[in-house]
Amino acid sequence: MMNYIKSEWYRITHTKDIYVLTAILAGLTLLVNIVLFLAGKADKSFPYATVSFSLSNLACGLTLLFFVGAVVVSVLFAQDRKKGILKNAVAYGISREKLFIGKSIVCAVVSVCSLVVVLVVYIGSAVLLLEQGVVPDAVPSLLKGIACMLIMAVAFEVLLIAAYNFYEKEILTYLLWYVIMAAIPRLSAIIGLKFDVVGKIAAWMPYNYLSNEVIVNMSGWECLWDTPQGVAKCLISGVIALVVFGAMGLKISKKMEV
Amino acid sequence: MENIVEVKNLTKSYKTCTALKQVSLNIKRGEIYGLVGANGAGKTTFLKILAGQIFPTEGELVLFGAHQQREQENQRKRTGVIIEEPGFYPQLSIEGNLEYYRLQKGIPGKAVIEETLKTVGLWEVRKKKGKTLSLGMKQRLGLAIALMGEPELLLLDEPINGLDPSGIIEVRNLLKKLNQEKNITIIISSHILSELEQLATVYGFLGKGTLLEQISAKALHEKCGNYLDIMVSDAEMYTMLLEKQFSHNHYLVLEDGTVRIFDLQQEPEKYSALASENGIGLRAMTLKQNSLEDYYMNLAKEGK
Repeated sequence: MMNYIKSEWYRITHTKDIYVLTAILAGLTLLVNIVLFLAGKADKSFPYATVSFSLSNLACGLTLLFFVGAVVVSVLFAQDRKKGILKNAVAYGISREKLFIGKSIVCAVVSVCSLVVVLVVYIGSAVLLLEQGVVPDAVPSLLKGIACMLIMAVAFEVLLIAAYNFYEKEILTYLLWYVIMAAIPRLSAIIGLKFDVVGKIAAWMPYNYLSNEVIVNMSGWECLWDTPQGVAKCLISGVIALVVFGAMGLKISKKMEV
Repeated sequence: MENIVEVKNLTKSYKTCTALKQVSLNIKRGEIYGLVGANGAGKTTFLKILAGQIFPTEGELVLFGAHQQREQENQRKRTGVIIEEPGFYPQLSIEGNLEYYRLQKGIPGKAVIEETLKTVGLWEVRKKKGKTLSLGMKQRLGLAIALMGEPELLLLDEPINGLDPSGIIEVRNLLKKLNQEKNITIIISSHILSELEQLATVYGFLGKGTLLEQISAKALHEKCGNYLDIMVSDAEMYTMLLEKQFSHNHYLVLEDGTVRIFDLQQEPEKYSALASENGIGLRAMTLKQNSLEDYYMNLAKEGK
């Protein structure tokens, strides 16, 4: 498996895709901060030229991490099946399970590297260009939130890799991923209004707890990860998702024909 | 000689069709095994099962003596494969693609890349990106990937697709050389049967998913024999005379009226004399060698 990981690392670092994606994401965050900065300069009463406002865009929508993770998976692996790369690896005797695990590891490492670059640009430019704002600890709070959701983000990447092995049609892959990531949690939350048990399970789904237990606005931030219980919830749910999606992926991979 | 591949009652069914039906065959070390069959005969399915890309529905596959899937995965490191399209990354250069597979196969040292690219004639264009390659170059790159790491078994599905005539000759010579010098076993399918004829030492004829016949090149050559194409003014009369005077009934009347006579029992001149002596106009006569194509067509027609 190490050989496969090495080859993938070589391929990813020697092609433009991940650099372009990272540059686009970092560029967008920089652009947001520059716009806020210029708006603040032009109008002294403009209340949004602050670090806390800028960072609140991500803090209140950490599900964005899952979507960006999905984009990373697509950029890295979408053509594997179409271009016959997977066939070669299988024909060379790399087991399907090792391929799945190898891809998941590579994807997680690459995503974290990309995330670090984007965050440095995002947070760095915000701190350099903008006023502090009403939340003095916005930066550590956001970083804590990201750290808490990192395992979950990786789990959703693993889910998408598993879905790629399940469906040949890309659109169905994304649909399956979205249904598990957002539609089922939403539906569970609605059913949970009537049935307590379902409601309790739904509360542990990231799509729901990130919507309901993270309140970020101009007067302050109240985040799930501010309390040890909240941190535990994020981490435990992340580990459960990783184990479940990983097991699903291994089972699907075993039967995959390429 | 040791069997590299043993296949017993191999069947592959999909939801709507059965691509392989109860195929049993053995392939020995050092053979060049030519898979012959029309589209949909099951050639690619067979190769994909050998390569581990798809699973058989029934039957047994023994690869390098390994019976179990896990053992076979280890043994597949001894194989090189091109099935359907050659798989490579279009954004990487030719050299980059080989480096990718070198790392994946765990081959030490980069010297193997130069050696392999020189073997397939891509060294001069090694910096070219995969996406800019012509069909022929793609085939060569696929071949390079398959050859890297000195495989003992090559599984090649239509490897000369897209190659120009000189490329076809180069690949043919290369495969012969690999077989003769390194004793590499090759299983090759091709639509261009004249090409297979110049390579294969054993043939497996597939039709509608079943193995119609397995025969050595030597036996096939003996079996094929000569036939005579004779074009006469009255084919009906001629064939009647053929049966009556020569007691010969192994012939075919083609659509254009040509009488094709197999298993020649007389000198060719006797067949022309048969027409002229009986007032039948003789328009053309050609003595031909039965080709692999003819043999396959007859086999498929007989549905043997």
